[in-house]
Amino acid sequence: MSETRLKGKIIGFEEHEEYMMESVFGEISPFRLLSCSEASLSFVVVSPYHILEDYSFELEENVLKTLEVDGNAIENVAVLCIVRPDNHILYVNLRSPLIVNTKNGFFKQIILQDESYGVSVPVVAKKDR
Amino acid sequence: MLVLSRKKNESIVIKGDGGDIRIVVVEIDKGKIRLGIDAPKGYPIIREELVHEIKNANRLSAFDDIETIRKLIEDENE
Repeated sequence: MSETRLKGKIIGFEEHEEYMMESVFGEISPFRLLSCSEASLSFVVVSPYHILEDYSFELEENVLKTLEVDGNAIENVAVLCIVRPDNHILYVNLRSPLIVNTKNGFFKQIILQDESYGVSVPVVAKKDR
Repeated sequence: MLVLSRKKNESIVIKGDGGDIRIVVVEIDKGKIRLGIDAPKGYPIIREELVHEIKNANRLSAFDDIETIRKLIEDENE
């Protein structure tokens, strides 16, 4: 199985910095993000653009700097959002996406100031209603 | 923690290498104050409750089973 090493912090889990993503960039999400330091810790992330085509926000230059994005080249940046299922409904956190430098694997979970994106946005409703 | 008293229209300034942050008391009304904040880029201003909400969502999202999620996405795409 292909995998990508990622280094960064997820809000509330700052003690863990090393993750392994069970995929490579360019594959179709969802992906599993596994902590390298805590065997039982994992997250599932998706590309938000599969959920909301016009998802957009302004990326602060200092984030690109923190992630050491070469020449601030946006083509080397990936955006992933954490999802969770609850009672057959999938929720996505569009308010605090993970910004990833696809070249070195550095990532940061940022918080958008745009109030229109929620922390727990329902995506999928089960069709047995 | 530093505690300061300020009246309406008074402000405080936090000096920083990347620029100053200025916080003004815009309005005071029955136990509620409105603040105006000027900050340089790179200082996101967020309500503390939002950080708690995100932490909570992250906690609820940890340890999820990818197969359940994959199935929910497939159901939606059908």
